[in-house]
Amino acid sequence: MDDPLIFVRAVHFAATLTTAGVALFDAFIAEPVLRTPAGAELRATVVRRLRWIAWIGLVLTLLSGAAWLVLVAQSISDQPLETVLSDASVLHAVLLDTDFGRDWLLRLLLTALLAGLFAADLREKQGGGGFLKVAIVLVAASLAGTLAWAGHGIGGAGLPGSIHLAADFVHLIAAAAWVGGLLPLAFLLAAADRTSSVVVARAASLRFSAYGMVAVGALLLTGAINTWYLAGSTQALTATDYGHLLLVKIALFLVMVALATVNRLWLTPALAVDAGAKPEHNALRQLRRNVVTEIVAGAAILAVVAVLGVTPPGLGE
Amino acid sequence: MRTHIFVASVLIALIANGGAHAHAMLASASPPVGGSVGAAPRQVTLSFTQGLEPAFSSVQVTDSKGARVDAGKAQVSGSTMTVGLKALSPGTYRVHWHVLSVDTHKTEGSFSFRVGQ
Repeated sequence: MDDPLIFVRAVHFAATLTTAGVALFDAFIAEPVLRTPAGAELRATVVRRLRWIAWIGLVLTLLSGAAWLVLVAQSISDQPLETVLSDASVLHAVLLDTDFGRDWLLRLLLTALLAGLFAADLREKQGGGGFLKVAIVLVAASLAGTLAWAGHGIGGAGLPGSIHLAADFVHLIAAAAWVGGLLPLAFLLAAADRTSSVVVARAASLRFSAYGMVAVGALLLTGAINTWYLAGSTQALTATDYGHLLLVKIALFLVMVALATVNRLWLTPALAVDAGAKPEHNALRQLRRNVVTEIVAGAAILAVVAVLGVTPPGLGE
Repeated sequence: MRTHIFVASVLIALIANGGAHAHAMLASASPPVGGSVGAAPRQVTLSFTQGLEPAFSSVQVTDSKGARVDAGKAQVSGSTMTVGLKALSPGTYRVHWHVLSVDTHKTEGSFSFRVGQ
Protein backbone atom coordinates (compact mmCIF):
# COMPACT_ATOMS: atom_id res chain seq x y z
CA MET A 1 0.00 0.00 0.00
CA ASP A 2 2.91 2.31 0.64
CA ASP A 3 4.42 1.91 -2.84
CA PRO A 4 1.88 4.09 -4.73
CA LEU A 5 2.28 6.68 -1.96
CA ILE A 6 6.06 6.66 -2.27
CA PHE A 7 5.84 7.06 -6.04
CA VAL A 8 3.31 9.91 -5.82
CA ARG A 9 5.37 11.68 -3.13
CA ALA A 10 8.50 11.42 -5.28
CA VAL A 11 6.71 12.84 -8.33
CA HIS A 12 5.12 15.63 -6.28
CA PHE A 13 8.43 16.64 -4.69
CA ALA A 14 10.19 16.56 -8.08
CA ALA A 15 7.41 18.55 -9.79
CA THR A 16 7.14 21.15 -7.00
CA LEU A 17 10.90 21.66 -6.71
CA THR A 18 11.26 21.87 -10.51
CA THR A 19 8.43 24.40 -10.85
CA ALA A 20 9.75 26.53 -7.99
CA GLY A 21 13.30 25.97 -9.23
CA VAL A 22 12.69 27.23 -12.75
CA ALA A 23 10.94 30.34 -11.38
CA LEU A 24 13.92 31.09 -9.11
CA PHE A 25 16.39 30.27 -11.92
CA ASP A 26 14.59 32.64 -14.29
CA ALA A 27 14.74 35.54 -11.83
CA PHE A 28 18.31 35.03 -10.58
CA ILE A 29 20.19 33.47 -13.50
CA ALA A 30 18.40 33.60 -16.85
CA GLU A 31 17.05 37.16 -16.85
CA PRO A 32 20.36 38.81 -15.86
CA VAL A 33 22.43 36.71 -18.30
CA LEU A 34 20.05 36.99 -21.27
CA ARG A 35 19.65 40.75 -20.91
CA THR A 36 23.30 41.23 -21.96
CA PRO A 37 24.13 41.88 -25.65
CA ALA A 38 25.70 38.41 -25.92
CA GLY A 39 22.61 36.77 -24.45
CA ALA A 40 20.06 38.58 -26.61
CA GLU A 41 20.18 36.13 -29.52
CA LEU A 42 19.49 33.17 -27.20
CA ARG A 43 16.78 34.87 -25.22
CA ALA A 44 13.73 33.81 -27.20
CA THR A 45 14.73 30.12 -27.31
CA VAL A 46 15.71 29.88 -23.67
CA VAL A 47 12.64 31.74 -22.38
CA ARG A 48 10.41 29.41 -24.39
CA ARG A 49 12.15 26.34 -22.92
CA LEU A 50 11.90 27.67 -19.38
CA ARG A 51 8.19 28.35 -19.83
CA TRP A 52 7.64 24.77 -21.00
CA ILE A 53 9.37 23.49 -17.84
CA ALA A 54 7.30 25.85 -15.68
CA TRP A 55 3.91 24.87 -17.11
CA ILE A 56 4.58 21.13 -17.31
CA GLY A 57 5.91 21.33 -13.75
CA LEU A 58 2.73 23.11 -12.61
CA VAL A 59 0.44 20.50 -14.19
CA LEU A 60 2.44 17.61 -12.68
CA THR A 61 2.39 19.37 -9.29
CA LEU A 62 -1.41 19.61 -9.41
CA LEU A 63 -1.98 16.04 -10.62
CA SER A 64 0.47 14.44 -8.17
CA GLY A 65 -0.90 16.61 -5.36
CA ALA A 66 -4.44 15.39 -6.08
CA ALA A 67 -3.26 11.78 -6.17
CA TRP A 68 -1.43 12.22 -2.84
CA LEU A 69 -4.56 13.65 -1.22
CA VAL A 70 -6.68 10.73 -2.42
CA LEU A 71 -4.15 8.13 -1.21
CA VAL A 72 -3.84 9.74 2.22
CA ALA A 73 -7.64 10.07 2.50
CA GLN A 74 -7.93 6.35 1.70
CA SER A 75 -5.36 5.45 4.33
CA ILE A 76 -6.77 7.71 7.05
CA SER A 77 -10.41 6.80 6.58
CA ASP A 78 -9.88 3.10 5.79
CA GLN A 79 -12.32 3.52 2.93
CA PRO A 80 -11.81 2.07 -0.56
CA LEU A 81 -10.96 4.35 -3.48
CA GLU A 82 -14.53 4.43 -4.85
CA THR A 83 -15.90 5.73 -1.55
CA VAL A 84 -13.22 8.40 -1.23
CA LEU A 85 -13.96 9.65 -4.74
CA SER A 86 -17.75 9.55 -4.45
CA ASP A 87 -18.45 10.45 -0.81
CA ALA A 88 -17.55 14.10 -0.31
CA SER A 89 -17.58 13.83 3.48
CA VAL A 90 -14.34 11.81 3.53
CA LEU A 91 -12.32 14.42 1.63
CA HIS A 92 -14.14 17.14 3.56
CA ALA A 93 -12.97 15.66 6.86
CA VAL A 94 -9.40 15.17 5.67
CA LEU A 95 -9.11 18.64 4.13
CA LEU A 96 -10.60 20.56 7.05
CA ASP A 97 -9.89 18.39 10.10
CA THR A 98 -6.25 17.39 9.61
CA ASP A 99 -2.99 19.35 9.48
CA PHE A 100 -2.15 17.52 6.26
CA GLY A 101 -5.44 18.59 4.65
CA ARG A 102 -5.19 22.22 5.68
CA ASP A 103 -1.62 22.40 4.40
CA TRP A 104 -2.79 20.79 1.15
CA LEU A 105 -5.40 23.53 0.68
CA LEU A 106 -2.79 26.22 1.33
CA ARG A 107 -0.46 24.69 -1.23
CA LEU A 108 -3.29 24.40 -3.76
CA LEU A 109 -3.83 28.14 -3.30
CA LEU A 110 -0.12 28.87 -3.75
CA THR A 111 -0.02 26.71 -6.90
CA ALA A 112 -3.02 28.56 -8.35
CA LEU A 113 -1.42 31.89 -7.47
CA LEU A 114 1.85 30.87 -9.14
CA ALA A 115 -0.07 29.79 -12.25
CA GLY A 116 -1.69 33.23 -12.38
CA LEU A 117 1.69 34.92 -12.05
CA PHE A 118 3.20 32.73 -14.78
CA ALA A 119 0.27 33.66 -17.03
CA ALA A 120 0.85 37.36 -16.33
CA ASP A 121 4.53 36.85 -17.16
CA LEU A 122 3.57 35.25 -20.49
CA ARG A 123 1.94 38.51 -21.52
CA GLU A 124 5.10 40.53 -20.93
CA LYS A 125 7.20 40.70 -24.08
CA GLN A 126 10.38 41.91 -22.45
CA GLY A 127 10.13 39.64 -19.42
CA GLY A 128 7.96 40.77 -16.50
CA GLY A 129 8.59 43.94 -14.53
CA GLY A 130 10.39 43.94 -11.18
CA PHE A 131 7.24 43.51 -9.11
CA LEU A 132 6.07 40.49 -11.07
CA LYS A 133 9.44 38.76 -10.71
CA VAL A 134 9.57 39.46 -6.98
CA ALA A 135 6.04 38.09 -6.57
CA ILE A 136 6.97 34.97 -8.55
CA VAL A 137 10.10 34.40 -6.45
CA LEU A 138 8.17 34.77 -3.17
CA VAL A 139 5.27 32.50 -4.18
CA ALA A 140 7.60 29.89 -5.74
CA ALA A 141 9.79 29.81 -2.62
CA SER A 142 6.69 29.46 -0.41
CA LEU A 143 5.36 26.63 -2.56
CA ALA A 144 8.61 24.71 -2.06
CA GLY A 145 9.01 25.59 1.63
CA THR A 146 5.48 24.61 2.68
CA LEU A 147 6.25 21.02 1.64
CA ALA A 148 7.81 20.97 5.12
CA TRP A 149 4.34 20.53 6.60
CA ALA A 150 3.89 17.32 4.64
CA GLY A 151 6.86 15.51 6.18
CA HIS A 152 8.20 14.57 9.58
CA GLY A 153 8.62 18.27 10.22
CA ILE A 154 5.24 18.47 11.95
CA GLY A 155 4.34 16.58 15.09
CA GLY A 156 7.44 17.61 17.01
CA ALA A 157 6.83 19.53 20.21
CA GLY A 158 8.18 22.76 21.67
CA LEU A 159 11.13 24.83 20.53
CA PRO A 160 13.12 21.91 19.02
CA GLY A 161 10.03 21.03 16.99
CA SER A 162 9.72 24.58 15.67
CA ILE A 163 13.43 24.76 14.83
CA HIS A 164 13.10 21.48 12.94
CA LEU A 165 10.13 22.81 10.95
CA ALA A 166 11.93 26.08 10.16
CA ALA A 167 15.03 24.14 9.06
CA ASP A 168 12.86 21.96 6.79
CA PHE A 169 11.28 25.07 5.24
CA VAL A 170 14.68 26.58 4.38
CA HIS A 171 16.03 23.16 3.29
CA LEU A 172 13.25 22.80 0.72
CA ILE A 173 13.71 26.29 -0.72
CA ALA A 174 17.46 25.70 -1.04
CA ALA A 175 16.76 22.34 -2.72
CA ALA A 176 14.34 24.01 -5.15
CA ALA A 177 16.99 26.64 -5.98
CA TRP A 178 19.84 24.18 -6.54
CA VAL A 179 18.33 20.83 -7.60
CA GLY A 180 15.36 22.56 -9.26
CA GLY A 181 17.70 24.89 -11.09
CA LEU A 182 19.71 22.13 -12.76
CA LEU A 183 17.12 21.34 -15.43
CA PRO A 184 16.76 24.94 -16.65
CA LEU A 185 20.57 25.26 -16.47
CA ALA A 186 20.93 22.19 -18.70
CA PHE A 187 18.55 23.74 -21.23
CA LEU A 188 20.34 27.07 -21.17
CA LEU A 189 23.74 25.41 -21.66
CA ALA A 190 22.31 23.33 -24.53
CA ALA A 191 21.07 26.49 -26.26
CA ALA A 192 24.47 28.15 -25.72
CA ASP A 193 26.22 25.06 -27.10
CA ARG A 194 24.06 25.00 -30.23
CA THR A 195 24.92 28.62 -31.06
CA SER A 196 28.49 28.34 -29.72
CA SER A 197 27.72 31.18 -27.28
CA VAL A 198 30.56 30.35 -24.94
CA VAL A 199 30.33 33.81 -23.35
CA VAL A 200 26.74 33.14 -22.30
CA ALA A 201 27.59 29.62 -21.09
CA ARG A 202 30.39 31.01 -18.93
CA ALA A 203 28.27 33.84 -17.51
CA ALA A 204 25.40 31.50 -16.67
CA SER A 205 27.76 28.94 -15.16
CA LEU A 206 29.51 31.50 -12.98
CA ARG A 207 26.23 32.94 -11.73
CA PHE A 208 24.83 29.48 -11.04
CA SER A 209 27.95 28.51 -9.08
CA ALA A 210 27.59 31.46 -6.72
CA TYR A 211 23.84 30.82 -6.44
CA GLY A 212 24.48 27.11 -5.87
CA MET A 213 27.06 27.76 -3.17
CA VAL A 214 24.57 29.74 -1.10
CA ALA A 215 22.02 26.94 -1.58
CA VAL A 216 24.54 24.21 -0.65
CA GLY A 217 25.51 26.14 2.48
CA ALA A 218 21.86 26.35 3.50
CA LEU A 219 21.33 22.64 2.69
CA LEU A 220 24.33 21.63 4.83
CA LEU A 221 23.29 23.72 7.83
CA THR A 222 19.59 22.76 7.76
CA GLY A 223 20.45 19.15 6.86
CA ALA A 224 22.71 18.91 9.92
CA ILE A 225 19.97 20.33 12.16
CA ASN A 226 17.43 17.86 10.80
CA THR A 227 19.75 14.85 10.97
CA TRP A 228 20.54 15.57 14.61
CA TYR A 229 16.87 16.05 15.41
CA LEU A 230 15.55 12.96 13.61
CA ALA A 231 18.36 10.44 13.92
CA GLY A 232 19.56 11.67 17.30
CA SER A 233 22.79 9.69 17.45
CA THR A 234 25.41 8.03 15.26
CA GLN A 235 24.04 4.69 16.37
CA ALA A 236 20.64 5.58 14.94
CA LEU A 237 22.32 6.49 11.64
CA THR A 238 24.04 3.13 11.26
CA ALA A 239 21.54 0.83 12.94
CA THR A 240 18.13 1.91 11.61
CA ASP A 241 16.44 1.81 8.18
CA TYR A 242 15.85 5.51 8.44
CA GLY A 243 19.52 6.13 9.25
CA HIS A 244 20.67 4.06 6.28
CA LEU A 245 18.42 5.99 3.89
CA LEU A 246 19.71 9.26 5.32
CA LEU A 247 23.30 8.12 4.71
CA VAL A 248 22.43 7.29 1.08
CA LYS A 249 20.90 10.76 0.69
CA ILE A 250 24.04 12.38 2.15
CA ALA A 251 26.26 10.32 -0.17
CA LEU A 252 24.27 11.41 -3.24
CA PHE A 253 24.44 15.03 -2.04
CA LEU A 254 28.25 14.77 -1.79
CA VAL A 255 28.39 13.38 -5.35
CA MET A 256 26.47 16.43 -6.55
CA VAL A 257 28.73 18.82 -4.64
CA ALA A 258 31.82 17.10 -6.09
CA LEU A 259 30.48 17.53 -9.63
CA ALA A 260 29.57 21.17 -8.94
CA THR A 261 33.11 21.76 -7.65
CA VAL A 262 34.62 20.29 -10.83
CA ASN A 263 32.27 22.50 -12.86
CA ARG A 264 33.31 25.62 -11.01
CA LEU A 265 37.05 25.05 -10.57
CA TRP A 266 37.98 23.39 -13.85
CA LEU A 267 35.31 23.50 -16.52
CA THR A 268 33.96 27.06 -16.19
CA PRO A 269 37.42 28.69 -16.31
CA ALA A 270 38.14 26.53 -19.38
CA LEU A 271 35.32 28.34 -21.16
CA ALA A 272 37.59 31.20 -22.13
CA VAL A 273 36.28 34.51 -23.42
CA ASP A 274 37.53 34.17 -27.02
CA ALA A 275 35.27 31.59 -28.60
CA GLY A 276 35.82 29.35 -31.65
CA ALA A 277 38.74 27.22 -30.53
CA LYS A 278 38.20 23.50 -29.83
CA PRO A 279 39.06 23.34 -26.06
CA GLU A 280 36.09 25.57 -25.12
CA HIS A 281 33.70 23.31 -26.92
CA ASN A 282 34.97 20.24 -25.08
CA ALA A 283 34.71 22.02 -21.74
CA LEU A 284 31.14 23.04 -22.52
CA ARG A 285 30.21 19.48 -23.51
CA GLN A 286 31.71 18.09 -20.30
CA LEU A 287 29.96 20.79 -18.27
CA ARG A 288 26.63 19.79 -19.84
CA ARG A 289 27.32 16.11 -19.08
CA ASN A 290 28.12 16.92 -15.45
CA VAL A 291 24.93 18.92 -15.06
CA VAL A 292 22.90 15.98 -16.40
CA THR A 293 24.67 13.63 -13.95
CA GLU A 294 23.81 16.03 -11.14
CA ILE A 295 20.17 15.94 -12.27
CA VAL A 296 20.19 12.13 -12.05
CA ALA A 297 21.72 12.26 -8.55
CA GLY A 298 19.13 14.88 -7.58
CA ALA A 299 16.31 12.65 -8.83
CA ALA A 300 17.69 9.76 -6.78
CA ILE A 301 17.77 12.01 -3.70
CA LEU A 302 14.07 12.80 -4.25
CA ALA A 303 13.29 9.07 -4.45
CA VAL A 304 15.12 8.56 -1.12
CA VAL A 305 13.21 11.47 0.41
CA ALA A 306 9.94 9.92 -0.75
CA VAL A 307 10.80 6.70 1.09
CA LEU A 308 12.13 8.57 4.16
CA GLY A 309 8.71 10.16 4.45
CA VAL A 310 7.03 6.84 5.11
CA THR A 311 9.80 5.46 7.34
CA PRO A 312 9.77 6.03 11.10
CA PRO A 313 12.65 8.25 12.16
CA GLY A 314 15.41 6.99 14.43
CA LEU A 315 14.49 8.96 17.52
CA GLY A 316 13.70 6.99 20.59
CA GLU A 317 15.42 3.87 19.29
CA MET B 1 22.22 9.99 -21.67
CA ARG B 2 20.46 6.62 -21.87
CA THR B 3 23.01 5.11 -19.44
CA HIS B 4 22.20 7.86 -16.97
CA ILE B 5 18.48 7.14 -17.14
CA PHE B 6 19.12 3.42 -16.66
CA VAL B 7 21.35 4.02 -13.63
CA ALA B 8 18.74 6.38 -12.17
CA SER B 9 15.97 3.80 -12.63
CA VAL B 10 18.05 1.07 -10.95
CA LEU B 11 18.88 3.39 -8.05
CA ILE B 12 15.25 4.40 -7.65
CA ALA B 13 14.04 0.79 -7.83
CA LEU B 14 16.58 -0.28 -5.20
CA ILE B 15 15.70 2.55 -2.90
CA ALA B 16 11.93 2.65 -3.24
CA ASN B 17 11.33 -0.78 -1.72
CA GLY B 18 8.95 0.54 0.87
CA GLY B 19 9.41 1.41 4.49
CA ALA B 20 7.81 0.57 7.80
CA HIS B 21 4.76 2.34 9.21
CA ALA B 22 3.63 3.27 12.74
CA HIS B 23 4.60 6.69 13.97
CA ALA B 24 2.64 7.76 17.03
CA MET B 25 3.70 5.19 19.61
CA LEU B 26 2.41 5.09 23.16
CA ALA B 27 5.05 6.74 25.33
CA SER B 28 3.31 6.45 28.70
CA ALA B 29 -0.11 5.88 30.20
CA SER B 30 -1.99 6.56 33.38
CA PRO B 31 -3.05 4.04 34.75
CA PRO B 32 0.25 2.47 33.64
CA VAL B 33 0.42 -0.27 31.03
CA GLY B 34 -0.09 -3.61 32.76
CA GLY B 35 -0.19 -1.84 36.12
CA SER B 36 -2.40 -1.98 39.18
CA VAL B 37 -4.07 0.91 40.94
CA GLY B 38 -5.69 0.87 44.37
CA ALA B 39 -8.45 3.43 43.83
CA ALA B 40 -10.63 3.48 40.72
CA PRO B 41 -9.24 6.09 38.28
CA ARG B 42 -11.62 8.79 36.95
CA GLN B 43 -9.89 8.90 33.55
CA VAL B 44 -7.31 7.24 31.34
CA THR B 45 -4.52 9.48 30.01
CA LEU B 46 -2.32 8.34 27.11
CA SER B 47 0.87 10.14 26.01
CA PHE B 48 2.19 9.53 22.50
CA THR B 49 5.46 10.18 20.68
CA GLN B 50 3.83 12.37 18.00
CA GLY B 51 1.14 15.02 17.78
CA LEU B 52 -2.33 13.57 17.14
CA GLU B 53 -5.25 14.52 14.91
CA PRO B 54 -8.30 14.85 17.19
CA ALA B 55 -10.79 14.16 14.42
CA PHE B 56 -9.31 10.72 13.71
CA SER B 57 -8.14 9.50 17.12
CA SER B 58 -10.19 7.50 19.60
CA VAL B 59 -9.93 5.19 22.59
CA GLN B 60 -12.24 2.57 24.13
CA VAL B 61 -11.99 1.11 27.60
CA THR B 62 -13.76 -2.19 28.29
CA ASP B 63 -14.26 -4.36 31.36
CA SER B 64 -13.58 -8.11 31.56
CA LYS B 65 -17.00 -8.79 30.02
CA GLY B 66 -16.33 -6.52 27.04
CA ALA B 67 -18.71 -3.75 28.11
CA ARG B 68 -17.63 -0.17 27.50
CA VAL B 69 -16.64 1.77 30.62
CA ASP B 70 -15.36 4.99 29.02
CA ALA B 71 -17.55 8.06 29.44
CA GLY B 72 -17.77 10.90 26.99
CA LYS B 73 -15.62 11.80 24.02
CA ALA B 74 -11.83 11.46 24.15
CA GLN B 75 -10.04 14.80 24.51
CA VAL B 76 -6.89 15.29 22.45
CA SER B 77 -4.34 17.99 23.11
CA GLY B 78 -1.04 17.90 21.24
CA SER B 79 0.27 14.38 21.80
CA THR B 80 -1.94 13.51 24.78
CA MET B 81 -5.34 11.82 24.72
CA THR B 82 -7.62 11.62 27.76
CA VAL B 83 -10.98 9.92 28.23
CA GLY B 84 -13.23 9.93 31.30
CA LEU B 85 -14.30 6.69 32.97
CA LYS B 86 -17.49 5.51 34.64
CA ALA B 87 -17.23 4.36 38.24
CA LEU B 88 -15.03 1.25 38.10
CA SER B 89 -15.30 -1.71 40.43
CA PRO B 90 -12.23 -3.87 41.17
CA GLY B 91 -11.19 -5.97 38.22
CA THR B 92 -9.19 -6.00 34.98
CA TYR B 93 -9.86 -3.46 32.26
CA ARG B 94 -8.63 -3.19 28.69
CA VAL B 95 -7.71 0.05 26.89
CA HIS B 96 -7.85 0.00 23.10
CA TRP B 97 -6.53 3.08 21.27
CA HIS B 98 -6.60 4.08 17.58
CA VAL B 99 -4.76 7.27 16.69
CA LEU B 100 -3.75 9.26 13.63
CA SER B 101 -0.48 11.16 13.94
CA VAL B 102 -0.28 14.62 12.37
CA ASP B 103 2.01 13.19 9.70
CA THR B 104 -0.92 11.01 8.56
CA HIS B 105 0.13 7.63 9.97
CA LYS B 106 -2.35 5.44 11.83
CA THR B 107 -1.37 3.35 14.79
CA GLU B 108 -3.31 1.33 17.31
CA GLY B 109 -2.63 -0.72 20.37
CA SER B 110 -4.07 -2.00 23.59
CA PHE B 111 -3.09 -2.80 27.14
CA SER B 112 -4.71 -3.80 30.44
CA PHE B 113 -4.68 -2.43 33.94
CA ARG B 114 -6.14 -3.66 37.25
CA VAL B 115 -8.21 -1.86 39.80
CA GLY B 116 -8.32 -3.02 43.42
CA GLN B 117 -6.24 -5.84 44.88
